[in-house]
Amino acid sequence: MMSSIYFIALPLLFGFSVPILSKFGKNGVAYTSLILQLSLFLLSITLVLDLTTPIVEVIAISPPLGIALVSDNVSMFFVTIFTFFTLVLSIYYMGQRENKKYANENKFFILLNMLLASAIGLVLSSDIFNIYVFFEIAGISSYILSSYEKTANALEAGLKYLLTGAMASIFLVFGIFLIYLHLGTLNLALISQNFYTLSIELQLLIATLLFVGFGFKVEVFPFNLWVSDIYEGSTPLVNALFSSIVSKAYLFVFFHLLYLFIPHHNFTDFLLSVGVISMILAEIVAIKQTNIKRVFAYSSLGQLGLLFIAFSMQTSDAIIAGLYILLAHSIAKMVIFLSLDSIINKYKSEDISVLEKMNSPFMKWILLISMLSLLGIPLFAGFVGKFLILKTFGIAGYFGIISAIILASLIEAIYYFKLIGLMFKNTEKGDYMEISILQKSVLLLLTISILFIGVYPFILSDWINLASETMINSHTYQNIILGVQL
Amino acid sequence: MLGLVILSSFISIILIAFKTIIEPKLSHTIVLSMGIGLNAVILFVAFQAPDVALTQAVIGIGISSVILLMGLKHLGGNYES
Amino acid sequence: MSLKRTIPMTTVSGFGVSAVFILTILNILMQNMPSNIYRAGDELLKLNATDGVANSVTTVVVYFRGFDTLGEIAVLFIASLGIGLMLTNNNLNNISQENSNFMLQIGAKLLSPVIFIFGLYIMIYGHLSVGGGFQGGVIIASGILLLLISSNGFHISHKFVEIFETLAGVSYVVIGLIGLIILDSFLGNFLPYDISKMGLLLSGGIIPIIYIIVGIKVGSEMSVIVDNMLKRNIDD
Repeated sequence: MMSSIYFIALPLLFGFSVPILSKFGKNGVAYTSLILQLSLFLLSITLVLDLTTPIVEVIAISPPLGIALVSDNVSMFFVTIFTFFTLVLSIYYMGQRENKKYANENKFFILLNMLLASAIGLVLSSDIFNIYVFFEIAGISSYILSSYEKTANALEAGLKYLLTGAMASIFLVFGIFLIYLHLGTLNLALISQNFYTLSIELQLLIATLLFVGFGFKVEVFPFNLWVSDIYEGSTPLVNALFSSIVSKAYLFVFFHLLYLFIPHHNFTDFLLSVGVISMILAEIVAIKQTNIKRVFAYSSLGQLGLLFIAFSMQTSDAIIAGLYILLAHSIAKMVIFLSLDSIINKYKSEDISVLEKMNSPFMKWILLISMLSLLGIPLFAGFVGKFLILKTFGIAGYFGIISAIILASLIEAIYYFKLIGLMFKNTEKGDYMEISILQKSVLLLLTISILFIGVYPFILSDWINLASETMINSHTYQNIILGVQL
Repeated sequence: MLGLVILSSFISIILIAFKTIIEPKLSHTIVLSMGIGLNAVILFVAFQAPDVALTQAVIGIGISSVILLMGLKHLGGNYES
Repeated sequence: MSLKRTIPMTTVSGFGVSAVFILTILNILMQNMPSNIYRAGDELLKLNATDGVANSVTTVVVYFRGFDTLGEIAVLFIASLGIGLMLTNNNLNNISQENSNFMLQIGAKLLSPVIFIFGLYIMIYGHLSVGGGFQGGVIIASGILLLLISSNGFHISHKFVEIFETLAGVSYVVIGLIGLIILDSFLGNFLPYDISKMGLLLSGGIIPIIYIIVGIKVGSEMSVIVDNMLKRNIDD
């Protein structure tokens, strides 16, 4: 029986049952986690292929009162991405497990699966308090993951993340409280129907509270000054998770709520300027960084700013562009952070000069391709999204935004070409870097998908068009939730 | 009578909250915040929410303050805030 | 001593800024006081009568919004895991060796049985009277805390607690999945719940069972947290 509840229930079941699983030999937990992630990925693929009308999974009592999980085109798009990347990350970890095993490996797998469950829950849930609960689960697992290695940097990162996350929770929960006080419901569809009845200053207050609450997690301008420290402190494997899965889940939820509550373009200019500032600022700061994790952290922030711009337009064309950028960015950052994990483990240095020392033609080309994709060079996955977003803003007449995006791309090009130059420099190389077959195949798969999407982006266009239609249309969402009876 | 109880709890919550903020010793702050919780329990009972009151008494006053105090001890005793 | 010395300037300015901020928000809130609107919570409490559970809050927490409760259990689980991860050192010492206060020892011996019975009562009668699994579990954990700080010989075996914790967590999700298979709804109430039996110990279908599971899970997690926090005290 297919049901979207498995995406959340099974990882939780796995997490709770780890003490039993660890009795089945050394590899019991690791292999169970791998099998679980594989089956969740297959489940998401099957659900996507079967998806004709949105499926509403009711929990205990039908929607306006109870909690329901909605799997429509856009949420399943995100779920598929999340399960795929978690699976890829687990396989990669299994490949390096012989050489460098985490100290408390079982706990790492618990946290990984909890993070997956909460990211999926954030995307699927149609109840605002339920979203808050998943927000907390995702938050706490990320705090622990970021200080997983227990070095001084890692502990500092975890503490910073904890404090900012707690701040974000306070704002978010206050916003939810106000919504419940004035509308008497927690269901997204009902809130969406009645949000306009509130007085304008109350709407503004709630919107501000939600913006601050999610802003900390979406990592946009006023709230993102701490993010690079966290990326620096935690291992690249965890950074890959944050960059490809967690921030994307928060981004989706933020804009999902925005489209549902405020379908008019009231805040478009404000959100666009927030996106532009965070993009330009992050790219400028990235040039000066010497720590390689920080470089890519700032580049992630820049790309998130670009995504923020794309989604703030609130038109279906811009969302299509945004989804393409999101996909391309997730794949490229996954490749980069996964390979950085091996590189940093091998050469024991986090300076950007480690790329110069790196002696592995395979890694070199993989990194080159993903960086070019991030830059948006034609024939790579990143090009499609950037082209579409420039086209959309050109048609709409926002030439300021276009010049900002081009400026950001130029700044990006400066530091990416610096890194590429370091990689291809003819100097004394370090030891040859051994990469296991498993790791090689994972990286190869991701890189091939970058090239494939770049050359033939239309394979995804049907799906992404449907997803953007679903995301922008708040009336359909209201109807499918409120029409359900158990 | 009930109104009097509610009013006095409200006032003491605000007074204790002020005292909590200006109190220099962290351990005293934690104990004072237990006082806020205690008044909140009275309010919850007065507003006919016994479940919430029990939760506040057990979790809000009891175990969380104990955990905070233990955390303070980890930091090395009576820190000035 | 003047007032200026005891209250630092940052506190005063902090008060000022937050007062302005809070007054602005209060102004907005006061102007928009909600009229008597009918909230989802009222509707849920009304619906409770169909489930044969005397304490309607329990029905809402465990059944109608049971998914949130599962999420909160997961939050507690991860928090306890994180505390264990952060505080575990290689040189794990047991609780302090010096004898605790005589009064504390005797008081703990007298009080702890009462606390445990009270916790169990709150936990098992969660669907009939005030409280439930969360509260009962925490009461039991505080009883364990009292024993831990009072007597030197007492320690809790993590392996033993882990069994309870695992069984409780697993059975919560499994009960939910059984509901999914039988009733097509996660956490559906698949056991018979007669309204005529309302007020009896055995009533309400899966609701009391889940609350007891929640109690076991919360109690064991909190005990582990408290134990971890106490254990490290000696080596710093």
